[in-house]
Amino acid sequence: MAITTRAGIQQNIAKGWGVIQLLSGTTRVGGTTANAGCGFMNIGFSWNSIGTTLYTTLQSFPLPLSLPNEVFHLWSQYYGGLGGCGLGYLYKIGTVDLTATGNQLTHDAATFPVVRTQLNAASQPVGLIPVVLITTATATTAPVFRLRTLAGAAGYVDQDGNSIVGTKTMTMPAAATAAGSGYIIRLEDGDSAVRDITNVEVTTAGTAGAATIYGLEILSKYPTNRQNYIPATSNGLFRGIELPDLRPATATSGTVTAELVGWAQRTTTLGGADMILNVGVLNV
Amino acid sequence: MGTALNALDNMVSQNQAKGPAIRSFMSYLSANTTAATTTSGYTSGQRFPDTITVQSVGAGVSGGYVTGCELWSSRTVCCVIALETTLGTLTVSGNSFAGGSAMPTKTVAGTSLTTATLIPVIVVTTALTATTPILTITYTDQDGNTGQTATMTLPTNPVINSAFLVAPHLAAGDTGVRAVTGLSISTGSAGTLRAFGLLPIVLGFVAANVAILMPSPLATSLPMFLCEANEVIAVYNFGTALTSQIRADLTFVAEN
Repeated sequence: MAITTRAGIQQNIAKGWGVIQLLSGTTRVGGTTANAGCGFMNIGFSWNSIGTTLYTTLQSFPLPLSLPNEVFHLWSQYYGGLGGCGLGYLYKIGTVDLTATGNQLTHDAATFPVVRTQLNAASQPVGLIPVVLITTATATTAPVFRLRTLAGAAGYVDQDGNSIVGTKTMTMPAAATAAGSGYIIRLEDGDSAVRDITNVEVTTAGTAGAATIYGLEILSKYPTNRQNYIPATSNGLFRGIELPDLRPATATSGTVTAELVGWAQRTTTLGGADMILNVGVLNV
Repeated sequence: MGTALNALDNMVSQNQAKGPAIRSFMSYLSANTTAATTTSGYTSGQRFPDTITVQSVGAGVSGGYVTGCELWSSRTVCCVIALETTLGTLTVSGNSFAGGSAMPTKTVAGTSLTTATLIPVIVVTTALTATTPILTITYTDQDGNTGQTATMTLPTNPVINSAFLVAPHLAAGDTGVRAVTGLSISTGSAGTLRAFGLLPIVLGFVAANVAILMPSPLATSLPMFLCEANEVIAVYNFGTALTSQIRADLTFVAEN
């Protein structure tokens, strides 16, 4: 029987139908500050601190195996960065070689969009925040890319399902842009999210550098507003219903690489939600 | 039952009519504990050796709810203050299991129910002499299914007060534990492990050297667990394996 009341939520948790995650994220790294050429917006991530070797082995925050039902996110506390932090899923779209020009996206085998049931409609595409994460530091020249092919074909599918040729460039903010730097990718005017990124053209290459392209789905958020890090509480139930499913969305076909992470948006330095205490309840 | 938490006014009236109890807690770990791995909980944990035993109550009172908590820690951690049930004990020498108690029955939001812990932990109560031992936990799951198993590979020679989260290693589809019916270990010559089931009464972060007021339990969607006489309240840190100190002040309001 689905949960319909606060008492039902409390009783389900007491019965063991839920999750309490006590999570410790990876240590912050000093990334390269965003600027106008890459859209101004840094975004940082924290993976599980145990099991992660940045940026080759990324350990998602663990959930119990094969959760049988929806697990509604209820409540979190974060110890994260200025400007907003929270919990989210990174869906791996592909990797980009920044040392050569031309079409450089190697798309993940899974077929996007990722889908969820939304507003009682099954398998609805999820709009994702497009993110580039530098996984190998760049060198000599700041790489530049855009979401299209060399021949001018479309580079992404927008929030409404339209295939779009990206004209805006993403110029990495320094010749030596540090590994771990994350930026929200610039989209065409009028677009707010992507269902997929299909092509990336590197127009200026460095002598070193590699990146991973992700789509970020926000599960929860807390608007931290102090420079120093303070514990912040996101109470999904009491600040307006905000109960997303803690299980990842699924790929249209194939198996998407989905990493449950802490995230933090900032305009100056990198950050992530370093520690997260997260509670969810099974919808049974 | 449930009157203290039915409304804020009830809590106030219970508080003035029957008197609150404030229990202060301080404990420290003077030695590092053993860090977890991806096969032993994913997040390092530690249990403070000192505990609180819930005091006896007067006539007409069944126990107390923790309605407030101030907390200070020397580390930035996820802190869990919880009613603790001993589910079972393993003596490594001889691979000998002694059964404990099942998770208690509690009244939550007006309904009596069989609890299952979402935070089952394995705690080292005597240092182990064992090289990457594989621990097998046999348990009854949240739905009452018996004979479920979880397997964890512990670090070599984990030291006393180290705590390892079991939840990520439960059988597929399981989220909670009602009881532990067996513990066995693949290798080792000394040490003791204890399986505990936690029902959290305070959950939250504390930043190093910053005293905080925990979020009011009245404004969360977490269950309130009645603390009854002689029950044990234990304090855990998660997110560190370093020496730690902690200070907490818990306020209990009487429940009829």
